[in-house]
Amino acid sequence: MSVSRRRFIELLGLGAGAAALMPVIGRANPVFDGFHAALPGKPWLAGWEDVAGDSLARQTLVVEGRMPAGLSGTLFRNGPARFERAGFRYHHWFDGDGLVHAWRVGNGRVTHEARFVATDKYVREDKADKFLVMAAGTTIPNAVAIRGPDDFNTANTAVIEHGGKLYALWEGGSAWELDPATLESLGAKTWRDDLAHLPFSAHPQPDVDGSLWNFGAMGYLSEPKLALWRIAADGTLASFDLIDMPNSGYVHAFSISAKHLVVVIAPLMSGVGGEGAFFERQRWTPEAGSIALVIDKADRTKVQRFELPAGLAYHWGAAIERGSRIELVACWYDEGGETNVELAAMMRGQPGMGAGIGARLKRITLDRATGRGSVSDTGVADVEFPTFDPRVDAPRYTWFAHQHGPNQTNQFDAVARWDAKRERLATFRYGEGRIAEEHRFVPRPGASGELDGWLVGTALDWKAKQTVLSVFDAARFEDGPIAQARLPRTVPLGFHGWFSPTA
Amino acid sequence: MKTFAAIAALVMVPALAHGANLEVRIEGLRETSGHLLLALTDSADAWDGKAESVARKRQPVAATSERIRFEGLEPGSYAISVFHDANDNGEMDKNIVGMPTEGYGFSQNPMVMRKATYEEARFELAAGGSEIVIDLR
Repeated sequence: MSVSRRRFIELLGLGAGAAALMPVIGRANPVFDGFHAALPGKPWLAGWEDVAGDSLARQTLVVEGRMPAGLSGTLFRNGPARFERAGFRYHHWFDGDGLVHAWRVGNGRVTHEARFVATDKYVREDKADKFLVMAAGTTIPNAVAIRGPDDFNTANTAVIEHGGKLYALWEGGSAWELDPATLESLGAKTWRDDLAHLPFSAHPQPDVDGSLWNFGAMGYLSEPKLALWRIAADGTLASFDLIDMPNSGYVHAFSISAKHLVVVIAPLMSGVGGEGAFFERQRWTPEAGSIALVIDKADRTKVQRFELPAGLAYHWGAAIERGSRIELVACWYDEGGETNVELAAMMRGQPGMGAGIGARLKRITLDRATGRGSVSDTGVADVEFPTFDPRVDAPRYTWFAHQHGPNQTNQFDAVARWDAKRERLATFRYGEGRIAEEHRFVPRPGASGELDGWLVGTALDWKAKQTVLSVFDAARFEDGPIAQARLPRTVPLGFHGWFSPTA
Repeated sequence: MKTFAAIAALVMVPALAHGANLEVRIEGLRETSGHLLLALTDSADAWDGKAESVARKRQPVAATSERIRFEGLEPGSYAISVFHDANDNGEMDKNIVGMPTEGYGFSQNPMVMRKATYEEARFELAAGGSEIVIDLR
């Protein structure tokens, strides 16, 4: 995400400083005004447009092509969608309240519905008809004091089904349980009384034995801690550990191998002085480098630490054990301080500031025998939202949203599959006028092969003013979708989803 | 922005013969069970537990907004800390890293996610009495 120094400074001026100094009178909000002034000329800004109301009613969609007979279930997706209240617009893409979608597929038909997660924050602010609490990336004028992280939990980042329960996930607080049939909120999930309000990240990793691992990073504590969760296949808490973090850096997601948890801490330090919201206070400190923690699954007190070059990766592929080495790929940003700049530019109606998405696909190798870690470039750029088949111990394929080439919006225009064995990237380009979101592999019932199934994902078709669900044959996805279902409106671009074959 | 005047409004109430009265309105209770525990202090030492509080009150909770009255006080500087012992176990419950899991608040409603300091919570009790609002968080 290369942005010029000038724009960086200009953005800082609109970030912490201006928000704090400017009284909110009517619509004296440069972010709100900037976005709405840009919208008519940039129809792709529909991807960051506010959704009004509490829900989008279920509707049956027109299907083009033929939905595979064996594909049955629901693609749940989550993403920020309430960006504005009372003429005030958030300054950071990650701040919007979570809107959970259900794209239900069966008998060749597709329906869509969506509902905002009724977090405590959402309910309280909806009643007041204005933002009341500090957001992760925006200072709210005259905000009320809060008890802890769950008071500004937006549950806006991911959604996962586990142990028969559906959860909307954020990274700073509790998982929020939803009814998979209606998407109605059932409340914050407390796994054990003394673990209330602890962070349960948006990137839990299913293990091959049916359990679910997760972490929660608390770099903001005076003694930074990392929570390590394991949820059993039946949905009960199997283990919980609290380990030390080496610094106050940032962790968005992690990875698991057959025997280890791999947590890489980026030197985007939290709360180092100054006022303002969490993301506003983060400071890129490349001299500290990135630090990988390799944690023994069987005994989480056994932690090995690796020094890596500075970089920020929000998202990781599967971690694979090769003798004493652990290898994994990441969507890696060398300049981790610039991601927040781009995430703020989106809200002002100026997404796609840099040349390309910015993330490079890098391979991280951690040698447990020598204690050495290294980062090497695969030659692949502009990939994000990696997904893979979690049933496989050492997946060969990783799927991505991808920016294939220059395009008007400077956003993802393709879906891609990385073949780790051949070191080759295959792509399908949605083409001009469409922005690709995360795509997920769905196995054919009864099959075990990594490509024996379908690839399912959504894209914003901003020229047609629609959001589209596409289904590909995973083995031949380069040929394009075998079926598409069109929602006759746009919904904001989301983050992560989950395909449930039973819901 | 250091001041959050809209939250903590100081309002004058009629004067009484002996000392000043303090009306405390507690807003934003999330449960209507248990008790509110208040400590009224007049120094940083008392605030930090190194000296006696001026007064302590324990009042049952029946609604999401409660009123508590302190009578016959000397006018001057004070600070109040309050917590909502919703389960009546006599403690402010916390999670494993020390984040409170029951409601709490301070006079002046400072924007901190920790125990406020005496200076942050300090307010002036007028000779004619005062009313303050504490938003429980």
